[in-house]
Amino acid sequence: MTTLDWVVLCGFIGFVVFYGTWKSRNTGDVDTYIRAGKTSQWWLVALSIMATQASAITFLSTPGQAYVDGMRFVQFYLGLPIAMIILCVTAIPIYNKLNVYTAYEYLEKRFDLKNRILGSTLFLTQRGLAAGFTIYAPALILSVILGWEMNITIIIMGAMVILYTTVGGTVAVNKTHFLQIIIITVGMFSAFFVLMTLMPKDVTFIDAAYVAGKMGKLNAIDFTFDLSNRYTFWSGIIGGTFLMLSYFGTDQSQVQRYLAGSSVTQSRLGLLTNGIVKVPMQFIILFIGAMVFVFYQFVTPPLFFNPVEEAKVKSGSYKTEYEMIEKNYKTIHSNKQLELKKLISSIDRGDEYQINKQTNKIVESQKEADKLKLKATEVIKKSDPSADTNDTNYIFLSFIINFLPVGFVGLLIAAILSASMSSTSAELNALASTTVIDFYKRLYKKNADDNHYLKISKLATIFWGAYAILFAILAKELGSLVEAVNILGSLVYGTILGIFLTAFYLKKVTGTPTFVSAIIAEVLVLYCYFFTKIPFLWYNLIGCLVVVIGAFLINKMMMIYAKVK
Amino acid sequence: MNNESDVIKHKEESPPPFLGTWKNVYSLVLINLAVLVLLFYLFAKVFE
Repeated sequence: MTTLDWVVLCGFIGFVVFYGTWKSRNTGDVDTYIRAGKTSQWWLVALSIMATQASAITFLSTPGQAYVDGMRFVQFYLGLPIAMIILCVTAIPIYNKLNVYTAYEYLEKRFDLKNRILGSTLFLTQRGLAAGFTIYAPALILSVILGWEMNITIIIMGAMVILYTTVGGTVAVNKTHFLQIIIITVGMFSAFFVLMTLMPKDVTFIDAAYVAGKMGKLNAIDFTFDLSNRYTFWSGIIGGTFLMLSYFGTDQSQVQRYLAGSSVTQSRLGLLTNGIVKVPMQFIILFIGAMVFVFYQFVTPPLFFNPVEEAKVKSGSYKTEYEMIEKNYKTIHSNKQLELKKLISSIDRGDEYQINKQTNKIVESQKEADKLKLKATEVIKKSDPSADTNDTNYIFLSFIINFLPVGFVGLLIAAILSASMSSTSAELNALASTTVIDFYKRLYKKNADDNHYLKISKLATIFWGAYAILFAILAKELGSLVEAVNILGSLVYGTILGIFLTAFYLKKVTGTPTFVSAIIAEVLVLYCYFFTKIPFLWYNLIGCLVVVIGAFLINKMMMIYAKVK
Repeated sequence: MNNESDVIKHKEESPPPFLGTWKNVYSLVLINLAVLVLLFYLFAKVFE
């Protein structure tokens, strides 16, 4: 990175941290600290919701996923608008009426203490780990591509977030989210426009889209119903709705964003704006990934995007074997580039016969290249059995570092760090709120003054920040990072959602049947994860249905038993 | 136990700032989703 890039990066990030800390330094009571005094307008609620969900993983892994697997990942988000509507109808009026600070507080008001504790425990377990991932993922990738020392990156990033989140709570989180989402948006659009200027002069945007389409990278919608296929229209609409309902309706890091809305209307508009904007936003990010793929059709890509693993294999006993594969890979790409030029000229002439002929040739060349890449990963694995052979997460950052002009690199890394910090701050904020409201205040010290709870909230923020940093330092590689976090969420989200849906809709069901069925559901979901091949998106549906149906049946049986008795 | 049904009954109390009712706003969000799915599908088909 050049000095200008460092100036841009430090300038943006430093300003966000300073602004967040300074603007929220006078936060003087728990209500302001946890719910921003319920004063936020819809646009701030919407930006905060989006910034919370859009972590660095979103911007590092998602374009890489499109590069490798096409744009079908967008279907994962198709259930989101539906979930937003359901929450506007159900959750927002209830949370608002009951004036809760956390989602789990509602569970005690509706059921009993044990359901509240179960809900908040599942949240703390899952979100505590996810907060570690949110810091770990970008630190790992930045350390590999830029050579930054990973633990120092984790500590600096974590410390900056802890600083402003501890000082200002939700006020600081919301204020920084506003700036962070601007940096992220400017960064991503800049990357897209620069990417288009880097294409060969005779390749227009339409040509690039044709190349991506012909090579199967624009596969955004797949209507086939296939349980073994992770991303289809149906898994997105059904499984995705349940996942998003869980995430936005029961995960305190999101609930806290719209609890800060100044009225039911403002909270609803915030959620619905997210429902309108999120899907196209993901589409654009994936499209950037597809365009990076097209760019690398004209510029030979590295055989493996993780430079650390590549350097290791090249310095070991498999050097010759790897370099031979690399040579063949380059030859295939050179030939493919010639065929691509012919394809583009056929497209421009509208010659269908030649288009089909060239497309088949290029697809065949790509298959050959993919086979060589697979061989290369096998060699990497042979050379070092502990090597990480998934380079999806390195593709986009590798492109940024090697091809974006000076200054843009700093801007894009600022965008990635902003995304990481925006998610982490919301997570720490929510973890601290749940710890204080659902555990400390409820179980330990019920009648202390406001100042006491404010101090404890700040201490809890520091504790969870330190926990996240420690977890990030200790974390091990878990495949594609974006999926790891989603899988982690899906293991508990279905159960939590089931508890909440039972609370909202099954008015006669009481606390104990809900609690028992929630335990059964969680065991079943863990069984599915460890012993079946069911894709993780369906865990949300399974967990949720088991809780709702189980609670209903157990409650019925208890009522019959009570009558008989 | 709290009275959520009352809350749900009164959920339409404050109308949205546009389109008259919340039902219309929700319909807009769903129509937007349907249009996006259609556009994504057509986009892929056109360039396939």
